[in-house]
Amino acid sequence: MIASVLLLALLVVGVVVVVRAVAHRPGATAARTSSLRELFTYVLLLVAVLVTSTGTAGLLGQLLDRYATDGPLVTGSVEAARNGAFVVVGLPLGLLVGLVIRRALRDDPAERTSFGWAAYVTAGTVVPLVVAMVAVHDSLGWALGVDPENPRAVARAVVWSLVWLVHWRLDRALTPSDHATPHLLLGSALGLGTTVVGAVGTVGNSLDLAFGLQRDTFVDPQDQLRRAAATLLVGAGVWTLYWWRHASARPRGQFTDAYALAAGTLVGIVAGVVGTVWAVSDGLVWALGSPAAAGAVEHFRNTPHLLATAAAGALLWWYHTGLLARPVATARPGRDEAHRLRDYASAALGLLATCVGGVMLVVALVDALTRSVAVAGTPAANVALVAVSALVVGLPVWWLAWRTAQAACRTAPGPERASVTRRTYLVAVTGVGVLVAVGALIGVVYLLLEDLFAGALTLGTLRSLRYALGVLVVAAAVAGAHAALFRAERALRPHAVQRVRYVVLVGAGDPAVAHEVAATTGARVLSWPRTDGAGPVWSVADVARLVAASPGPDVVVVQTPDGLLAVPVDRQRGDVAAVTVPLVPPGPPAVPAPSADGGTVTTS
Amino acid sequence: MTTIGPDRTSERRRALVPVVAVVGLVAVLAVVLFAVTRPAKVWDPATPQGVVQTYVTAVLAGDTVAAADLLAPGSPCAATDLDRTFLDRDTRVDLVGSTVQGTQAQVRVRVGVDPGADPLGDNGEERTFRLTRTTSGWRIDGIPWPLYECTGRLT
Repeated sequence: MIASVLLLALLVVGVVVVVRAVAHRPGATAARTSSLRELFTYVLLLVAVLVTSTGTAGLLGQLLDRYATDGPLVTGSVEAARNGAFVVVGLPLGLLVGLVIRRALRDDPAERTSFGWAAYVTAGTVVPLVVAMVAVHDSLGWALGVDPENPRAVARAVVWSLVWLVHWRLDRALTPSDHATPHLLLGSALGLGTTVVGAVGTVGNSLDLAFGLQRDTFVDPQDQLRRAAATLLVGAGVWTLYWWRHASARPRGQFTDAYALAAGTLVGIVAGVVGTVWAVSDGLVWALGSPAAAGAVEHFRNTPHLLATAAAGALLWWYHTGLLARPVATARPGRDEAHRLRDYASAALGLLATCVGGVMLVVALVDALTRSVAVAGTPAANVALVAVSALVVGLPVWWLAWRTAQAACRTAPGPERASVTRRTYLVAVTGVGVLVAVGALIGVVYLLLEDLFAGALTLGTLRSLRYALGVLVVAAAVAGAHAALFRAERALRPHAVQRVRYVVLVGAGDPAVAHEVAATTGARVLSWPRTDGAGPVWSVADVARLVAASPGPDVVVVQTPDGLLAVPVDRQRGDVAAVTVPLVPPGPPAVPAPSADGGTVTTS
Repeated sequence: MTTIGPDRTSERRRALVPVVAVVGLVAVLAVVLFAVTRPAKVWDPATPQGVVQTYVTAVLAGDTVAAADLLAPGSPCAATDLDRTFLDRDTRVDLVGSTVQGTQAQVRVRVGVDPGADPLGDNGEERTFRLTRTTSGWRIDGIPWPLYECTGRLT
């Protein structure tokens, strides 16, 4: 019970955090700061809905259990009492609070864009969706003859699907399109994850059956296949509805880009690389190494699933990376921060696989050199073959991504080298490399000293520090190369550009200007658009030139009748707590006569 | 027929809708609660299912002597073994199926606790009772649920 309450609380908190991020992002002008009262009203409604649904599903489950199957041998009162209490309290409460919220939504159109409503409708669809997906999966397991009869799962599937449907329709009808994005993407992610797991299981188990392999000794492959097909069916249904029918039509934005990067770059590459490395190393060890398994059936029992995982990763990467190629409505065409994140994250993941391969290669080398003192363990040839697999897969992934980034560096060196993503990548790879190298160095020295003090410094010592040595060599090489590159690029960046830390563009209408100025100057840029709609289009080149010429440390750029004007300011010294300016009646601006009672500025 | 003044019939009808809905919901809830709290179907004690039902009911009620009376004469377990077990108040036992082959029988049940540890639905675990036909009827053999080991000592 405590676990379920905790899980529910975690889900609600997660949804609230996501929706809060949407409500507070720049540009969401309609987002209102909802009051605590509003928030509690929605929380109360959500609790009432969840409690009533749990109770109703429980009662329906008990009914089905009793009258549709052989039924209970013993009956207790606890379950009925709990479910009854949930419905008796939850239903009237939900109806009452629901009526209050319905009136608010009808009378105040701004309510539909409020944080409370967005959080409620997101939690009200995502939580029932998760419960319904699991319940439908369990019911399908029963229908397909894999799992024992489960009338309670059928009851949960029916009730929670209805709750989801009601909230889905409310969301479609009431929530403005741009506020519904987090909900649609959460649903898409749930559907996609389930689909991938189901598809890998279906393909893997089908191949198992075709080749007469058995992955799990105690489970029938037919049952595994049916269960995976049920997972695929549930996931594909949710993904088709959420992504294919609705979310995929959304224009590119912060959230859709994050979704595409997480699904395509992160999950796609990790799944693809891990599956491929494992499958290739299985093949290499079988052909060239010393396999531990007696026969091919045992040695290759995981291979179909690994190949299916690799294929799923490749598909995820291909489809979701393609989404980033669509133009952004608010920015100019070309390379933006999402493309950089895609390339540098891919490079980092490829580099990681390459490093693992490098470490294993050093390990295999030391292993082969010190073979004379080995008693047992994995043969050095097998370790070397795994290393080769990791290098063969990791290097191309890193190289392709890095080549794209370097090509961008050549075509537009300014924005690329100044971009936060590239600088973060170089600093992070260097920093992590240094930390890991220091840790490995401590390990190497410790093992050396231990044997030295014990008077047992032999070939066995070298053998015992092969892993630490491998990590040290690879981490030091990676950190060194990236540190050198970072230093070289820092020297290339113009000094004047670095001097300005913060730029405020007063009246620049196009948000793309702010992005480009940030990319060109390397400064943090804040853009305040004009609310009267007036003002000409700003030239990025002019702004960049003015910012570069400004002494800094911060700059405010304004539009004057003569053109753009850059005012150097210091944000850090603006620590005036209060400024009082008494009103001066408008008069002829002839001579500014100093007076004792007007025009004074007092600071405190 | 002519009516004088505004026609309030439709308004009255509309006002009745929530009342009818609430009465309907209360009625449905009452029927459901009545249906799920009725005593379970009593199986014939001469059948394997009936013996298991009597045994499980006695165990859950804490009547370990009555439960131990249903164990087969050669069973390694005794009432003292059942005394040591702990069961949740919310334990439910559903009948899954049974098979009879001559003097041997199997009764499969599903034991679950509601709500279980899994918030998304815990379907419980299947347990099998093995029964032997004796002169005094079907009796439970082996080490039956909820026991995992038996000393068989009565003291």
